[in-house]
Amino acid sequence: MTTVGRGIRNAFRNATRTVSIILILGLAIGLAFVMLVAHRTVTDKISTTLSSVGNTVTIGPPGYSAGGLLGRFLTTAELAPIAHLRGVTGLDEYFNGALKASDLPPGSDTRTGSTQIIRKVVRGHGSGRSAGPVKQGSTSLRYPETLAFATEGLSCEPKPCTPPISFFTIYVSGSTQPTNPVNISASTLSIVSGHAISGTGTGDVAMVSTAMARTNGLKVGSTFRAYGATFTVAAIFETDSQQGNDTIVTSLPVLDRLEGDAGLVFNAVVTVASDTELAAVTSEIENTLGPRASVVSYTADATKAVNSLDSVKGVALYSLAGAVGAAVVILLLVMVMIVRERKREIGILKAVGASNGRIMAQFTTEAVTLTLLGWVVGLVAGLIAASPVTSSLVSNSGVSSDTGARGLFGAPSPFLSHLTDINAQVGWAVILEGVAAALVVAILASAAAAWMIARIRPAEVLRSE
Amino acid sequence: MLETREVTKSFGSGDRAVTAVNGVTMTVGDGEFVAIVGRSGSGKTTLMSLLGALEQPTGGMIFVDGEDITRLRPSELVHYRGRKIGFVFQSYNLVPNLTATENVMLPMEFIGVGKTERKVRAAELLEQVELTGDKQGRKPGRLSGGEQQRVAIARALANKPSIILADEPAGNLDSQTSMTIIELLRGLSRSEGTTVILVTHDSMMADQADRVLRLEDGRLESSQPKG
Repeated sequence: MTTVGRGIRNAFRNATRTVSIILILGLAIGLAFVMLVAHRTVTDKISTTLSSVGNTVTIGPPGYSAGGLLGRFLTTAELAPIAHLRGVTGLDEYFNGALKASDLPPGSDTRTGSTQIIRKVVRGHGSGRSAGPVKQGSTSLRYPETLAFATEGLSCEPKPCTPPISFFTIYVSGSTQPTNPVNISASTLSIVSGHAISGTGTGDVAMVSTAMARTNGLKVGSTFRAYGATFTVAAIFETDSQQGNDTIVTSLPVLDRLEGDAGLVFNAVVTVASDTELAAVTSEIENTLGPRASVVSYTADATKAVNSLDSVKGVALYSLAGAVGAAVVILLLVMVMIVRERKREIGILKAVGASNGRIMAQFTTEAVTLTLLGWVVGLVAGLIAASPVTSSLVSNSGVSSDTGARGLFGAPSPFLSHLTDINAQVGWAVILEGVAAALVVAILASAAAAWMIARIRPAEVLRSE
Repeated sequence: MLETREVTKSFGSGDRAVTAVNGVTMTVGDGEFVAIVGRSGSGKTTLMSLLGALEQPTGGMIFVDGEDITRLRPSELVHYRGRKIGFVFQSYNLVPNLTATENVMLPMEFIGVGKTERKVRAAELLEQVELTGDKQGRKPGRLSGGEQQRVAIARALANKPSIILADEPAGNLDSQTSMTIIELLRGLSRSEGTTVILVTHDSMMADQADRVLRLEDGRLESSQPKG
């Protein structure tokens, strides 16, 4: 039997007490573990959100940011000076259209759907033409989801439900930067096949999502019909949003031509060199365009939105510190109790030739054993509780993705749309950090015991005879 | 050879100072079996603590094999206790969750003896004190008082010490077992050449020693060679 062996065996000397200590430690360590996971998850979410927003400013027509009916659309000519402002490194102008899918089910309600509202406004204000009967474009493409999927969750009587036409709308994004995911209300857009199209090209080429390609049997080089024209698929992309999957991407000049609204811009996203220049550039853009435009910085909105997450992060951090502190205090008191109880035994060990260091090592081993067992209990409790507790902390903190900033069709900013969608992930890193923290707890708690051990005089064994 | 020169030990300070051992000078030869007797509070146990380096004297010197142990550093004192001294206590003081064999192996582990060698020697020592069979694998709680004291003696002998300090080793035992234990200690003293210093208030036991030292109020009153 070695010093370590005796320390481990001593941890199980009194079964009832050992179980009690492990359970109490397990609760404290479990709470610490949950708070560590919550802190890590929220920190990652804040980081992801802020990095996905980047240093951008969005320009739209008046009322755009409030999500109401849109006013007069901007034009490429009006936006041209923006590209030359100090601090501006990029200007992405885009326009959006909507097409009726070829698999529209019989009896669909063609009078509903947000696409029609947009087109009315475009016709009424943008081009100066009067708002007449809506003439929606159409395409040979089928909607990239099955009808069963589209009707799932619809509430109607009698069954089966007939979904409104908006369920079968295929969007079109015409952009000067076709690979910018913002244009398809997504945070990612990566080309998986073919080559990205040019944002200033005039040829009828397009990029489609993998979902769209799969549904319609499209490959790079395949063709399809839209607005009466024949498009060639130049690239297929992967994206992270449903709306992105439903969107055909082409260049701004092509969409403007097909929509018959040359030079019109639905939205523009300005990229600024650094976040420190963001406020100044936003102000410059507002001064340049005046009341003709609504200027929104998603970064400011994102910062505002993540403030609530910051408070969750703070709560998690303080709770983590509190739980670790509680674990240290619990173990420290346990070890002080054990040392006091075994004072005579320590005296014997010293009398028969054990050094202070060896006895301390034995008691530290006992503390580490108890802590690691408590850690196992805490880990199990933490794995069960981490996700619900994190979600609860976030949902009770007032975090909202709707900060007022509006994206496509008045929807909340695509950057922030998943802000409350928190999924606590327990990785190996967190588990290993937990082990390291448990060892620190054990060593800190053993310090008091060690101090007491060093002060015990071996002569006390004889004194207590 | 053990020699003390004017060894003094006081507790407390000023008017409240209590001198437990007061200028004790004595010499104990190698292999000698010496009994220290005296009334309760006469300083016997304190003197044992000083000889075993469990406490430092307030004054005087203690020489063991020519080395003054009062000048040793704490780490050297640990070494001294581990190699030169074997303790036998009245309450046996075995580690309760270790078996008899493991208790005997303990002092050997502290001076770095290998596990196999420790195990073999522990078994030999337990045989020597007549604790045999499955009793060697029992924990102290499942051994009688006499058997526990035998384990304690085997533990005291583990590192082949030059001095065994036995503080009332038969204090908790019946008279027959007490005599067996004393016989065992005397036999070891003779067969192994180990110096045994026995603290007792029992005159019958003291009579078994080669020499009897009497302590009174911390002072060595007389040294009576067995005649």
